[in-house]
Amino acid sequence: MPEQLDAKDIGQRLVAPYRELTVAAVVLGIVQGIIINIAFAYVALKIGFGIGGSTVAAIMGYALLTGVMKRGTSVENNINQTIASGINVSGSGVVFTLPALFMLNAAWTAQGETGIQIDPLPLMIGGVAGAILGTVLIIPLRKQMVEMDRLRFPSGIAVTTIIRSGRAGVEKAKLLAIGVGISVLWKIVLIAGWLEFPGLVEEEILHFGFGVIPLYLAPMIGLSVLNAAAGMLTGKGGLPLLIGGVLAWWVIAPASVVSGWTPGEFPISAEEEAALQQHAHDQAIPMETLYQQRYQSQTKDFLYGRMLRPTGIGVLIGGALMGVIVCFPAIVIAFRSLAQAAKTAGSGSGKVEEMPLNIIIACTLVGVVLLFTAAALTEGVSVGQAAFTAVVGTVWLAVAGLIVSQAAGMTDISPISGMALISVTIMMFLLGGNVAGAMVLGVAVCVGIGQSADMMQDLKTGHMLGAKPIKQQIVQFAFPWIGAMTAIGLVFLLWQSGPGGQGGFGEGTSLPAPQGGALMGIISAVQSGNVPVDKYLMGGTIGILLGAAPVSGLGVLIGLSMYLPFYMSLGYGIGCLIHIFLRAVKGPMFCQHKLVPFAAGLIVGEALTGVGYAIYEILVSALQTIPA
Amino acid sequence: MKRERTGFAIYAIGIVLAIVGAAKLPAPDHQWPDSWPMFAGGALVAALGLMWWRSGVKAEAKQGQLGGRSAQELLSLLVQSRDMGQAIEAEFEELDSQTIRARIDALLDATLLPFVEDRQVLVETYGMRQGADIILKASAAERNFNRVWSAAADDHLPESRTSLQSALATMEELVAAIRPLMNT
Repeated sequence: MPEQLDAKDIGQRLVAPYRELTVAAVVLGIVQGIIINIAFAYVALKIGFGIGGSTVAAIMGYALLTGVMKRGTSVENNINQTIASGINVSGSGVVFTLPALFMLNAAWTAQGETGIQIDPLPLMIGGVAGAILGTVLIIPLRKQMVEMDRLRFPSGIAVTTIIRSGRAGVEKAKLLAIGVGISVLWKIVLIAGWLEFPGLVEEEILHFGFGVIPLYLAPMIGLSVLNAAAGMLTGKGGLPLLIGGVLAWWVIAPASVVSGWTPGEFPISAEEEAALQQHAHDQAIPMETLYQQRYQSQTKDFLYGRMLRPTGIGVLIGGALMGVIVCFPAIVIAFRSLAQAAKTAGSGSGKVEEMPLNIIIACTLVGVVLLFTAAALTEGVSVGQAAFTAVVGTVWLAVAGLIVSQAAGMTDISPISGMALISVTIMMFLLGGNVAGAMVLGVAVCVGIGQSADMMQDLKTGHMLGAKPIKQQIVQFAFPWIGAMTAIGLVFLLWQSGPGGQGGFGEGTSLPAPQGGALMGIISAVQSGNVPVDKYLMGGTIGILLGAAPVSGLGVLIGLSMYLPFYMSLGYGIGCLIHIFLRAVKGPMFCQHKLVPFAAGLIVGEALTGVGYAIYEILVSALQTIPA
Repeated sequence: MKRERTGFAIYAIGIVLAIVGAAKLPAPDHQWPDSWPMFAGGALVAALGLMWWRSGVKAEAKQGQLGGRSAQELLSLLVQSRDMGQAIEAEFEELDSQTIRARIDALLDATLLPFVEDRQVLVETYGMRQGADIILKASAAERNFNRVWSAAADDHLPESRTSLQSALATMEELVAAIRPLMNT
């Protein structure tokens, strides 16, 4: 509810400038960002994916700036959440990549091979370079993504709803609270495993094949409400994600199996055979049924990992690039506006709303030099290689940042792991197989693409609140390096917490680092020359054709539908269908004023539960390490 | 409408064929799958369908047959938005924070949000350059109207009024720019 002001307070507000970029907002944003970064980095090492911190930061900002300090404003809280989420996201970029370097080093050393020299300095410089480049390279696209394409950024809408709650009327606040309540309860039920039932509900996914629909048709749907809520906020515009998923899994998958494009059988090890026999004995299931289930499951994994996902990555890249080409005149207008901002800044009129073009160019050069320094400091990388990879890395970071921002803007899903995979592949190719060098640049690119998506989401929130873009751009540029540094330090610390000062995470530990494991697999594939170049190129061509369609974002959405597991696309698509149905029955204003706060509440609830769970996990682990 | 639908159908068939052709794995020691002719044929069909589809959309936009509002109706919404904003400015001294927010909500719901929903019609009718120019200016005004709302909610009426004046300046500029288009 709005605070009660006395005559003195009102008088002060009439003369004082409107609070936006303040010391309080900056300090609160940094403190929250570091805490959330550590908690979420830990969770990402444990379960393999991160959680956006914007919603949590916005709630804390509302409570502290407005509730405790009694003078906070909406746009001031927006600055707070911009800083906090920027610091948090740059940590995610590190924990998705860096652990693979430690795990590879341990694996190679154990096999008697030469290990990898892991030097923290180039990694830290690379992290800072990524944080700077990710922000400045995406700023010129604000007008295209936020104002021209009007991307939804569901989490951005959720943050706006939180910041405005209490001011936008009791009814909206109630709907937000109901959404939060439902989501929190549902997530607790899922985390507790109360719905888990082998074969029906496993790992928060409902399997609806019932032994009749083959597993390679992926008959499953995620039970997380976050996906469905993102779809509810997007509506008709997100439907291609569902259509693409249906095309991939219910048309291409069966066609491939029937045409004999998938293997007829998959080799089975003696241990797996013994485990199957034991399972058949324990559950009284015929071995034939188990063999069939195993075949269908392996076929699904083959279809996803070898055929659909790599093609989807190509479609994503082609679609995003074509989207930029189609909107080129809008981008030219945006650049003119940035150039105009440079002139206005020089005149000292104080009406600059965007970061001027000359500053963007200068910051980009600083980022490239830092990237070059990080590469050059890595063992086995020549000065020429460092210079070339710094330039190519920057160009790729801009492209990947654009792709991830568009995907996040349309669906709230960021394909960062797929872009990390391609980043490391490109860098290994350019550096002649130097894994350490590729990982330094991979960390920089991953931090950068996360920043790009986060910057654009925060600018969307800012647009809806009426914030000055330049103030958000300054803080997003100035502080996220803290997150990269913190996360790199945390990864080193956790690794050294293992027996003998190493092995603190990885397979067989309480922190399996699944993304690091996946990246290890990719590095091995690149070293053996097994990169699906055909899929990337053909997918890219299809993406270009989709991106040129007179339907905004078609290439990115169809690419994403092939890149994501079907259970995620299906959950999101159902959310879109709910929006379309309510819009047809109740009208657009119902969706705008009732569905949006409710769906935003669902997103906030899941984020809050995620934070609670992260803190719980850290406490449990800390208690386990205390000697009895 | 017929050309647009036929173009879309050809495009969709081409895309499906191209994706199926691209999905197959190459044989060992081969760089490309042997289904590449299906991929290439599908891509070609999709490209032809795309050209047909786009020309159909453009023709319908010119005839004002695209779904939703026509380009003229969208431009009228911008003028209406400017007028509603001016009315708020004229009465600003007498309005309290809650009323300002209600009036801004009403302005956005009645004019700029419907405008945004059908904005693609402007691009199809006037081309990307001119269409984008109109949309981006309207969006800049919308952000300032949002700031009017936020500042009013924060009980900072001086900022609320300054932002309203900025929004109205942008709207005046926009209305002047679209005036020649409104009588064509």
